[in-house]
Amino acid sequence: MGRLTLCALAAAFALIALGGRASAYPQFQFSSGTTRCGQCHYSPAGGGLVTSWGRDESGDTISRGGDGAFLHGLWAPPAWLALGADVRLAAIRNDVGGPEAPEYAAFPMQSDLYARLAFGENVSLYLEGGVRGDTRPADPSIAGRFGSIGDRLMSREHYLMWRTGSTGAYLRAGRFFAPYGLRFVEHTYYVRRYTGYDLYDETYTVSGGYVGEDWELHASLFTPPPASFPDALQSVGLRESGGAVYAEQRLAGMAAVALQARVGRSGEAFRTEAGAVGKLWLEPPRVLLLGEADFIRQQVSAASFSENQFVGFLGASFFPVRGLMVGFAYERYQEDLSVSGTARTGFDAQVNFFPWAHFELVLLGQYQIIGTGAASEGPSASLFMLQLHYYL
Amino acid sequence: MGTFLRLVVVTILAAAGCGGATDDRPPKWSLISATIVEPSCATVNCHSAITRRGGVDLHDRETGYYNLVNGFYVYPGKPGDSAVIALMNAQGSTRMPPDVPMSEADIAIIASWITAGAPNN
Repeated sequence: MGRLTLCALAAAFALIALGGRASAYPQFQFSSGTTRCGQCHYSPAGGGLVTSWGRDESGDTISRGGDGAFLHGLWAPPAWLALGADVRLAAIRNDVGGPEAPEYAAFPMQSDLYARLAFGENVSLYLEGGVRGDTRPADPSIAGRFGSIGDRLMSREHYLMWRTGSTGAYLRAGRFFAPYGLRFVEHTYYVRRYTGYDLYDETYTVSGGYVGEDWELHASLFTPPPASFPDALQSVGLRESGGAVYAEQRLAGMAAVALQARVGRSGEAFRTEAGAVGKLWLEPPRVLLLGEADFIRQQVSAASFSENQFVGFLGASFFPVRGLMVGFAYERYQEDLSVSGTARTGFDAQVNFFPWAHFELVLLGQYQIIGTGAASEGPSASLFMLQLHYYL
Repeated sequence: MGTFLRLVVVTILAAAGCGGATDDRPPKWSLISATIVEPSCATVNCHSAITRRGGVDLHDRETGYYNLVNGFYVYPGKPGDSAVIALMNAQGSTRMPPDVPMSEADIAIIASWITAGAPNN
Protein backbone atom coordinates (compact mmCIF):
# COMPACT_ATOMS: atom_id res chain seq x y z
CA MET A 1 0.00 0.00 0.00
CA GLY A 2 1.57 3.29 -1.11
CA ARG A 3 1.92 6.45 0.92
CA LEU A 4 -0.70 8.18 -1.19
CA THR A 5 -3.22 5.42 -0.43
CA LEU A 6 -2.42 5.67 3.26
CA CYS A 7 -2.94 9.42 3.18
CA ALA A 8 -6.21 9.03 1.27
CA LEU A 9 -7.41 6.52 3.86
CA ALA A 10 -6.43 8.91 6.64
CA ALA A 11 -8.37 11.70 4.94
CA ALA A 12 -11.41 9.48 4.52
CA PHE A 13 -11.18 8.47 8.16
CA ALA A 14 -11.09 12.13 9.13
CA LEU A 15 -14.34 12.63 7.26
CA ILE A 16 -16.21 9.90 9.09
CA ALA A 17 -14.77 10.00 12.61
CA LEU A 18 -16.17 12.10 15.40
CA GLY A 19 -15.18 15.05 17.52
CA GLY A 20 -14.66 18.76 17.60
CA ARG A 21 -12.46 21.28 19.36
CA ALA A 22 -9.92 23.90 18.48
CA SER A 23 -6.33 22.71 18.43
CA ALA A 24 -4.07 25.12 20.18
CA TYR A 25 -0.87 24.44 22.07
CA PRO A 26 0.10 27.54 24.03
CA GLN A 27 3.01 25.48 25.37
CA PHE A 28 4.76 25.93 22.01
CA GLN A 29 5.04 29.69 22.32
CA PHE A 30 8.73 30.47 22.99
CA SER A 31 9.62 26.78 23.50
CA SER A 32 9.51 26.08 19.75
CA GLY A 33 11.41 29.23 18.87
CA THR A 34 8.32 31.08 17.70
CA THR A 35 7.04 33.97 19.76
CA ARG A 36 3.61 34.64 18.28
CA CYS A 37 0.68 32.19 18.07
CA GLY A 38 -0.22 33.75 14.72
CA GLN A 39 3.07 32.58 13.20
CA CYS A 40 1.92 28.96 13.19
CA HIS A 41 -1.85 29.49 12.89
CA TYR A 42 -3.95 31.43 10.39
CA SER A 43 -5.96 32.80 13.29
CA PRO A 44 -4.16 35.89 14.61
CA ALA A 45 -4.80 34.66 18.17
CA GLY A 46 -3.80 31.06 17.50
CA GLY A 47 -5.70 27.78 17.27
CA GLY A 48 -7.10 25.88 14.32
CA LEU A 49 -5.52 25.37 10.90
CA VAL A 50 -1.75 25.81 10.85
CA THR A 51 0.19 27.85 8.33
CA SER A 52 3.00 26.54 6.13
CA TRP A 53 5.39 27.95 8.74
CA GLY A 54 3.59 25.98 11.44
CA ARG A 55 3.69 22.83 9.33
CA ASP A 56 7.43 23.23 8.84
CA GLU A 57 7.86 23.73 12.59
CA SER A 58 5.85 20.60 13.34
CA GLY A 59 8.22 18.50 11.23
CA ASP A 60 11.50 20.24 11.93
CA THR A 61 11.19 21.32 15.57
CA ILE A 62 8.27 19.77 17.41
CA SER A 63 8.13 16.19 16.11
CA ARG A 64 11.03 13.76 15.91
CA GLY A 65 10.96 13.87 12.12
CA GLY A 66 8.80 13.71 9.04
CA ASP A 67 7.19 16.23 6.73
CA GLY A 68 4.54 18.38 8.40
CA ALA A 69 3.13 19.61 5.09
CA PHE A 70 -0.42 18.83 3.98
CA LEU A 71 -0.70 15.18 2.89
CA HIS A 72 2.84 14.69 4.18
CA GLY A 73 4.08 16.78 1.25
CA LEU A 74 2.67 14.48 -1.43
CA TRP A 75 0.52 17.24 -2.89
CA ALA A 76 0.51 20.94 -2.25
CA PRO A 77 -2.72 22.89 -2.64
CA PRO A 78 -2.60 26.13 -4.61
CA ALA A 79 -1.45 29.23 -2.74
CA TRP A 80 -5.01 30.53 -2.31
CA LEU A 81 -6.14 27.33 -0.58
CA ALA A 82 -5.12 25.75 2.71
CA LEU A 83 -6.61 22.47 3.89
CA GLY A 84 -6.32 20.37 7.00
CA ALA A 85 -7.97 17.89 9.33
CA ASP A 86 -7.75 16.73 12.93
CA VAL A 87 -8.69 13.31 14.26
CA ARG A 88 -8.46 12.27 17.89
CA LEU A 89 -9.29 8.89 19.37
CA ALA A 90 -9.44 8.57 23.15
CA ALA A 91 -9.69 5.95 25.87
CA ILE A 92 -10.44 6.96 29.45
CA ARG A 93 -10.67 5.66 32.96
CA ASN A 94 -12.92 7.98 34.93
CA ASP A 95 -13.61 7.60 38.65
CA VAL A 96 -15.96 9.95 40.48
CA GLY A 97 -17.08 7.36 43.03
CA GLY A 98 -20.40 5.56 43.22
CA PRO A 99 -21.53 2.00 42.49
CA GLU A 100 -20.62 2.08 38.78
CA ALA A 101 -17.19 3.65 39.14
CA PRO A 102 -14.69 3.51 37.63
CA GLU A 103 -15.96 4.05 34.13
CA TYR A 104 -13.98 2.86 31.12
CA ALA A 105 -14.70 4.19 27.65
CA ALA A 106 -13.06 4.38 24.25
CA PHE A 107 -14.47 6.80 21.74
CA PRO A 108 -13.71 9.00 18.77
CA MET A 109 -13.17 12.44 20.28
CA GLN A 110 -12.62 14.73 17.35
CA SER A 111 -12.81 14.96 13.61
CA ASP A 112 -12.56 18.37 12.06
CA LEU A 113 -11.93 19.44 8.50
CA TYR A 114 -10.52 22.88 7.77
CA ALA A 115 -10.35 25.03 4.68
CA ARG A 116 -9.01 28.53 4.25
CA LEU A 117 -9.60 30.36 1.02
CA ALA A 118 -7.58 33.49 0.32
CA PHE A 119 -8.99 36.24 -1.86
CA GLY A 120 -6.01 38.36 -2.76
CA GLU A 121 -3.38 39.40 -0.26
CA ASN A 122 -5.55 40.51 2.64
CA VAL A 123 -8.95 38.80 2.66
CA SER A 124 -9.65 35.18 3.57
CA LEU A 125 -12.54 32.89 4.41
CA TYR A 126 -12.02 30.23 7.09
CA LEU A 127 -14.34 27.22 7.32
CA GLU A 128 -14.31 24.41 9.86
CA GLY A 129 -16.71 21.52 10.09
CA GLY A 130 -16.73 18.29 11.99
CA VAL A 131 -18.71 15.68 13.80
CA ARG A 132 -19.35 16.08 17.50
CA GLY A 133 -17.67 13.43 19.64
CA ASP A 134 -19.29 11.76 22.62
CA THR A 135 -17.84 9.80 25.53
CA ARG A 136 -21.08 7.80 25.89
CA PRO A 137 -22.60 7.44 22.40
CA ALA A 138 -24.36 4.17 23.27
CA ASP A 139 -26.53 5.76 25.98
CA PRO A 140 -30.08 4.54 25.22
CA SER A 141 -31.52 7.86 26.38
CA ILE A 142 -30.19 9.54 23.23
CA ALA A 143 -30.84 6.61 20.91
CA GLY A 144 -32.57 7.58 17.70
CA ARG A 145 -31.58 11.21 17.89
CA PHE A 146 -27.87 10.84 17.18
CA GLY A 147 -27.84 7.64 15.18
CA SER A 148 -26.07 9.04 12.15
CA ILE A 149 -23.09 11.25 11.56
CA GLY A 150 -25.41 13.86 10.07
CA ASP A 151 -27.09 14.24 13.48
CA ARG A 152 -23.76 15.25 14.99
CA LEU A 153 -22.43 17.67 12.39
CA MET A 154 -21.15 20.92 13.87
CA SER A 155 -19.27 23.94 12.65
CA ARG A 156 -17.54 25.67 15.52
CA GLU A 157 -15.59 28.14 13.44
CA HIS A 158 -16.30 30.00 10.20
CA TYR A 159 -15.25 33.55 9.62
CA LEU A 160 -14.21 36.16 7.12
CA MET A 161 -10.98 38.02 7.87
CA TRP A 162 -9.12 41.05 6.62
CA ARG A 163 -5.48 41.12 7.64
CA THR A 164 -2.57 43.23 6.49
CA GLY A 165 -0.02 40.44 6.99
CA SER A 166 1.40 38.11 9.62
CA THR A 167 1.88 41.24 11.70
CA GLY A 168 -0.25 44.35 11.62
CA ALA A 169 -3.94 45.11 11.94
CA TYR A 170 -6.74 42.64 11.36
CA LEU A 171 -10.51 42.44 11.47
CA ARG A 172 -12.52 39.24 11.41
CA ALA A 173 -16.19 38.40 11.76
CA GLY A 174 -17.95 35.09 12.11
CA ARG A 175 -18.03 32.25 14.57
CA PHE A 176 -14.99 31.77 16.84
CA PHE A 177 -13.95 32.34 20.43
CA ALA A 178 -13.08 35.90 21.37
CA PRO A 179 -9.34 35.86 22.21
CA TYR A 180 -8.96 35.44 25.97
CA GLY A 181 -6.78 33.41 28.31
CA LEU A 182 -4.57 30.39 27.74
CA ARG A 183 -6.18 28.70 24.77
CA PHE A 184 -5.42 25.09 25.72
CA VAL A 185 -6.61 22.23 23.58
CA GLU A 186 -7.80 20.53 26.78
CA HIS A 187 -11.31 21.88 27.26
CA THR A 188 -11.57 20.26 30.67
CA TYR A 189 -9.10 22.70 32.21
CA TYR A 190 -10.88 25.02 34.63
CA VAL A 191 -9.58 28.15 32.90
CA ARG A 192 -11.50 27.07 29.80
CA ARG A 193 -14.51 25.41 31.37
CA TYR A 194 -15.46 28.15 33.82
CA THR A 195 -14.60 31.29 31.84
CA GLY A 196 -16.99 30.74 28.93
CA TYR A 197 -14.62 28.72 26.72
CA ASP A 198 -15.87 25.17 27.18
CA LEU A 199 -16.54 22.75 24.33
CA TYR A 200 -18.89 24.24 21.68
CA ASP A 201 -19.27 27.53 23.54
CA GLU A 202 -18.06 29.44 20.44
CA THR A 203 -19.94 32.66 19.81
CA TYR A 204 -20.57 34.82 16.77
CA THR A 205 -17.88 37.41 17.15
CA VAL A 206 -16.48 40.54 15.59
CA SER A 207 -12.84 40.91 16.57
CA GLY A 208 -10.22 43.42 15.65
CA GLY A 209 -6.74 44.17 16.78
CA TYR A 210 -3.08 44.53 16.06
CA VAL A 211 -0.32 41.93 16.19
CA GLY A 212 3.18 43.31 16.50
CA GLU A 213 6.53 41.62 16.92
CA ASP A 214 6.52 42.17 20.68
CA TRP A 215 2.91 42.83 21.55
CA GLU A 216 -0.63 42.21 20.43
CA LEU A 217 -4.08 43.51 21.24
CA HIS A 218 -7.42 41.88 20.51
CA ALA A 219 -10.83 43.47 21.16
CA SER A 220 -14.03 41.57 20.50
CA LEU A 221 -17.79 41.80 20.64
CA PHE A 222 -19.73 38.55 20.74
CA THR A 223 -23.22 37.09 20.90
CA PRO A 224 -24.51 33.49 20.91
CA PRO A 225 -26.03 31.94 17.79
CA PRO A 226 -29.70 32.87 17.44
CA ALA A 227 -32.13 30.25 18.74
CA SER A 228 -33.45 29.82 15.19
CA PHE A 229 -30.11 28.46 13.98
CA PRO A 230 -29.89 24.66 13.45
CA ASP A 231 -28.10 22.46 15.98
CA ALA A 232 -25.04 22.30 13.71
CA LEU A 233 -24.50 26.01 14.30
CA GLN A 234 -25.68 26.20 17.90
CA SER A 235 -23.60 26.83 21.00
CA VAL A 236 -23.99 25.67 24.58
CA GLY A 237 -22.67 27.01 27.87
CA LEU A 238 -23.10 30.59 29.01
CA ARG A 239 -24.71 31.92 25.80
CA GLU A 240 -23.76 35.47 26.70
CA SER A 241 -23.54 38.63 24.67
CA GLY A 242 -20.71 40.96 25.54
CA GLY A 243 -17.15 41.96 24.86
CA ALA A 244 -13.59 40.89 25.60
CA VAL A 245 -10.16 42.50 25.48
CA TYR A 246 -6.81 40.69 25.52
CA ALA A 247 -3.47 42.53 25.48
CA GLU A 248 -0.13 40.69 25.47
CA GLN A 249 3.39 42.07 25.83
CA ARG A 250 6.30 39.80 24.98
CA LEU A 251 9.65 40.29 26.63
CA ALA A 252 13.03 39.40 25.15
CA GLY A 253 11.57 36.51 23.15
CA MET A 254 11.26 34.41 26.29
CA ALA A 255 8.33 35.74 28.30
CA ALA A 256 4.87 37.16 27.89
CA VAL A 257 2.51 39.01 30.19
CA ALA A 258 -1.11 39.57 29.25
CA LEU A 259 -4.01 41.40 30.82
CA GLN A 260 -7.56 40.55 29.91
CA ALA A 261 -11.14 41.46 30.66
CA ARG A 262 -14.50 40.10 29.57
CA VAL A 263 -18.09 41.09 30.25
CA GLY A 264 -21.10 39.03 29.29
CA ARG A 265 -24.83 39.20 29.83
CA SER A 266 -27.18 36.27 29.43
CA GLY A 267 -30.88 36.12 30.17
CA GLU A 268 -30.08 35.13 33.75
CA ALA A 269 -26.77 36.62 34.84
CA PHE A 270 -24.25 39.37 34.24
CA ARG A 271 -20.62 38.34 34.48
CA THR A 272 -17.51 40.47 34.66
CA GLU A 273 -14.15 38.75 34.32
CA ALA A 274 -10.69 40.21 34.68
CA GLY A 275 -7.40 38.42 34.80
CA ALA A 276 -3.84 37.97 33.72
CA VAL A 277 -1.79 35.44 31.79
CA GLY A 278 1.94 34.86 32.08
CA LYS A 279 4.53 32.70 30.33
CA LEU A 280 8.23 32.34 31.01
CA TRP A 281 10.63 30.20 28.96
CA LEU A 282 13.74 29.00 30.77
CA GLU A 283 16.18 27.83 28.13
CA PRO A 284 18.78 25.81 30.09
CA PRO A 285 16.24 23.53 31.77
CA ARG A 286 13.96 23.78 28.69
CA VAL A 287 10.92 24.52 30.84
CA LEU A 288 8.00 26.79 30.02
CA LEU A 289 6.08 28.15 33.00
CA LEU A 290 2.46 29.11 32.27
CA GLY A 291 -0.10 30.77 34.50
CA GLU A 292 -3.53 32.34 34.36
CA ALA A 293 -5.67 33.89 37.08
CA ASP A 294 -9.17 35.27 36.61
CA PHE A 295 -11.58 36.89 39.01
CA ILE A 296 -15.24 36.69 38.05
CA ARG A 297 -18.09 38.75 39.46
CA GLN A 298 -21.39 37.05 38.73
CA GLN A 299 -24.65 38.88 39.37
CA VAL A 300 -27.98 37.04 39.29
CA SER A 301 -30.60 39.76 39.44
CA ALA A 302 -33.57 37.40 39.88
CA ALA A 303 -31.96 36.11 43.08
CA SER A 304 -30.78 39.59 44.14
CA PHE A 305 -27.38 38.04 44.73
CA SER A 306 -23.82 38.46 43.49
CA GLU A 307 -20.85 36.22 44.04
CA ASN A 308 -17.14 36.42 43.37
CA GLN A 309 -15.37 33.53 41.72
CA PHE A 310 -11.77 32.60 41.03
CA VAL A 311 -10.29 30.46 38.27
CA GLY A 312 -6.58 29.77 38.12
CA PHE A 313 -3.96 27.67 36.36
CA LEU A 314 -0.29 27.26 37.13
CA GLY A 315 1.77 24.83 35.13
CA ALA A 316 5.17 23.87 33.82
CA SER A 317 5.93 22.14 30.54
CA PHE A 318 9.30 20.41 30.14
CA PHE A 319 10.83 19.56 26.75
CA PRO A 320 13.64 17.09 27.59
CA VAL A 321 14.22 15.93 24.01
CA ARG A 322 12.78 16.81 20.63
CA GLY A 323 9.32 15.25 20.24
CA LEU A 324 8.52 15.00 23.93
CA MET A 325 6.61 17.40 26.19
CA VAL A 326 5.94 16.63 29.85
CA GLY A 327 3.64 18.92 31.79
CA PHE A 328 2.40 19.36 35.33
CA ALA A 329 -0.29 21.77 36.44
CA TYR A 330 -2.22 23.00 39.45
CA GLU A 331 -5.76 24.20 38.83
CA ARG A 332 -8.17 26.01 41.09
CA TYR A 333 -11.80 27.00 40.69
CA GLN A 334 -13.84 28.50 43.47
CA GLU A 335 -17.49 28.96 42.62
CA ASP A 336 -18.06 31.42 45.48
CA LEU A 337 -15.03 32.89 47.22
CA SER A 338 -17.00 33.38 50.43
CA VAL A 339 -17.76 29.64 50.77
CA SER A 340 -14.69 27.41 51.12
CA GLY A 341 -16.67 24.27 50.33
CA THR A 342 -17.35 25.42 46.77
CA ALA A 343 -13.70 25.06 45.73
CA ARG A 344 -12.33 22.57 43.24
CA THR A 345 -8.64 21.81 42.99
CA GLY A 346 -7.07 19.90 40.15
CA PHE A 347 -3.63 18.33 39.78
CA ASP A 348 -2.66 17.39 36.24
CA ALA A 349 0.17 15.43 34.67
CA GLN A 350 0.49 15.10 30.93
CA VAL A 351 2.88 13.56 28.44
CA ASN A 352 2.69 14.51 24.76
CA PHE A 353 4.82 12.46 22.38
CA PHE A 354 5.28 13.54 18.76
CA PRO A 355 7.05 10.57 17.14
CA TRP A 356 6.58 11.79 13.55
CA ALA A 357 5.04 14.82 11.95
CA HIS A 358 1.21 14.54 11.91
CA PHE A 359 1.12 12.07 14.81
CA GLU A 360 0.72 12.67 18.53
CA LEU A 361 0.24 10.40 21.53
CA VAL A 362 -1.14 11.96 24.71
CA LEU A 363 -1.25 10.53 28.22
CA LEU A 364 -3.15 12.64 30.70
CA GLY A 365 -3.94 12.20 34.36
CA GLN A 366 -6.05 14.50 36.48
CA TYR A 367 -6.90 14.28 40.18
CA GLN A 368 -9.56 16.59 41.57
CA ILE A 369 -10.32 17.50 45.15
CA ILE A 370 -13.75 18.91 45.91
CA GLY A 371 -14.03 21.54 48.66
CA THR A 372 -11.10 21.86 51.02
CA GLY A 373 -10.37 18.16 50.79
CA ALA A 374 -12.38 17.08 53.82
CA ALA A 375 -14.44 13.96 53.10
CA SER A 376 -17.53 15.80 54.34
CA GLU A 377 -17.25 18.36 51.53
CA GLY A 378 -17.39 15.98 48.60
CA PRO A 379 -15.62 13.12 46.84
CA SER A 380 -12.39 13.24 44.92
CA ALA A 381 -12.26 12.38 41.24
CA SER A 382 -9.62 10.98 38.93
CA LEU A 383 -9.28 10.76 35.18
CA PHE A 384 -6.73 8.95 33.04
CA MET A 385 -6.79 9.37 29.30
CA LEU A 386 -4.85 7.95 26.39
CA GLN A 387 -5.31 9.86 23.18
CA LEU A 388 -4.14 9.32 19.62
CA HIS A 389 -4.06 12.42 17.47
CA TYR A 390 -3.51 12.62 13.74
CA TYR A 391 -3.63 15.79 11.70
CA LEU A 392 -3.57 15.95 7.95
CA MET B 1 2.41 49.49 43.63
CA GLY B 2 0.25 49.04 46.72
CA THR B 3 -2.75 48.07 44.59
CA PHE B 4 -0.62 45.63 42.61
CA LEU B 5 0.68 43.99 45.79
CA ARG B 6 -2.84 43.69 47.18
CA LEU B 7 -3.94 42.05 43.92
CA VAL B 8 -1.04 39.58 44.12
CA VAL B 9 -1.87 38.73 47.74
CA VAL B 10 -5.57 38.25 46.93
CA THR B 11 -4.66 36.04 43.96
CA ILE B 12 -2.37 33.85 46.06
CA LEU B 13 -5.05 33.52 48.74
CA ALA B 14 -7.68 32.64 46.16
CA ALA B 15 -5.40 30.08 44.51
CA ALA B 16 -4.57 28.48 47.82
CA GLY B 17 -8.12 28.51 49.11
CA CYS B 18 -10.23 30.96 51.06
CA GLY B 19 -13.74 31.56 52.25
CA GLY B 20 -15.61 30.51 55.33
CA ALA B 21 -17.60 27.46 56.29
CA THR B 22 -20.87 29.43 56.38
CA ASP B 23 -22.90 29.45 53.18
CA ASP B 24 -25.04 32.59 52.93
CA ARG B 25 -26.14 32.01 49.35
CA PRO B 26 -29.95 32.21 49.08
CA PRO B 27 -31.48 28.82 48.13
CA LYS B 28 -33.27 30.21 45.08
CA TRP B 29 -33.68 28.36 41.80
CA SER B 30 -32.58 31.39 39.76
CA LEU B 31 -29.20 31.34 41.53
CA ILE B 32 -28.89 27.55 41.58
CA SER B 33 -29.66 27.26 37.88
CA ALA B 34 -27.31 30.03 36.74
CA THR B 35 -24.33 29.31 38.99
CA ILE B 36 -24.45 25.55 39.68
CA VAL B 37 -26.68 23.56 37.36
CA GLU B 38 -26.01 25.18 33.98
CA PRO B 39 -22.17 25.24 34.23
CA SER B 40 -22.00 21.72 35.66
CA CYS B 41 -24.80 19.89 33.86
CA ALA B 42 -25.77 21.67 30.63
CA THR B 43 -22.56 20.78 28.79
CA VAL B 44 -22.73 19.89 25.13
CA ASN B 45 -22.98 16.11 25.42
CA CYS B 46 -25.11 16.00 28.56
CA HIS B 47 -28.10 18.15 29.47
CA SER B 48 -27.68 20.88 26.85
CA ALA B 49 -30.54 21.85 24.55
CA ILE B 50 -28.76 19.93 21.80
CA THR B 51 -28.30 16.57 23.51
CA ARG B 52 -30.94 16.43 26.29
CA ARG B 53 -29.44 13.22 27.70
CA GLY B 54 -32.02 11.23 29.62
CA GLY B 55 -34.62 13.54 28.11
CA VAL B 56 -33.49 16.27 30.48
CA ASP B 57 -32.63 19.75 29.22
CA LEU B 58 -31.12 22.05 31.85
CA HIS B 59 -29.77 24.79 29.62
CA ASP B 60 -31.72 27.65 31.15
CA ARG B 61 -33.74 28.51 34.23
CA GLU B 62 -37.26 27.90 32.90
CA THR B 63 -36.48 24.75 30.91
CA GLY B 64 -34.43 23.26 33.73
CA TYR B 65 -37.12 23.92 36.29
CA TYR B 66 -39.80 22.36 34.09
CA ASN B 67 -37.71 19.23 33.41
CA LEU B 68 -36.62 18.65 37.00
CA VAL B 69 -39.99 19.22 38.66
CA ASN B 70 -42.30 17.77 36.01
CA GLY B 71 -39.87 14.93 35.33
CA PHE B 72 -40.12 13.97 39.00
CA TYR B 73 -36.40 14.46 39.64
CA VAL B 74 -37.44 16.96 42.31
CA TYR B 75 -40.21 16.33 44.85
CA PRO B 76 -40.99 19.70 46.42
CA GLY B 77 -40.48 19.58 50.16
CA LYS B 78 -38.82 16.14 50.06
CA PRO B 79 -35.10 16.25 49.27
CA GLY B 80 -34.69 12.70 50.55
CA ASP B 81 -37.12 11.45 47.92
CA SER B 82 -35.76 13.60 45.11
CA ALA B 83 -33.79 11.68 42.52
CA VAL B 84 -31.62 14.70 41.73
CA ILE B 85 -30.09 14.56 45.23
CA ALA B 86 -29.54 10.79 45.00
CA LEU B 87 -27.89 11.18 41.60
CA MET B 88 -25.49 13.87 42.82
CA ASN B 89 -24.57 11.64 45.79
CA ALA B 90 -24.13 8.54 43.59
CA GLN B 91 -26.71 6.66 45.63
CA GLY B 92 -27.63 3.59 43.61
CA SER B 93 -26.48 4.91 40.26
CA THR B 94 -23.77 6.71 38.36
CA ARG B 95 -22.79 9.98 39.98
CA MET B 96 -24.03 13.15 38.34
CA PRO B 97 -22.21 14.98 36.91
CA PRO B 98 -20.06 12.05 35.77
CA ASP B 99 -16.90 14.12 35.29
CA VAL B 100 -16.74 16.71 38.08
CA PRO B 101 -18.63 15.81 41.28
CA MET B 102 -20.79 18.44 42.93
CA SER B 103 -19.49 19.85 46.20
CA GLU B 104 -21.42 19.13 49.36
CA ALA B 105 -22.08 22.86 49.65
CA ASP B 106 -23.82 22.88 46.28
CA ILE B 107 -25.81 19.74 47.04
CA ALA B 108 -26.84 21.28 50.36
CA ILE B 109 -28.15 24.48 48.78
CA ILE B 110 -30.16 22.44 46.25
CA ALA B 111 -31.56 20.35 49.10
CA SER B 112 -32.49 23.54 50.97
CA TRP B 113 -34.32 24.82 47.91
CA ILE B 114 -36.25 21.53 47.63
CA THR B 115 -37.05 21.62 51.36
CA ALA B 116 -38.48 25.11 50.87
CA GLY B 117 -40.94 23.71 48.32
CA ALA B 118 -38.76 24.02 45.19
CA PRO B 119 -40.33 27.26 43.98
CA ASN B 120 -39.31 28.79 40.66
CA ASN B 121 -37.93 31.84 42.44
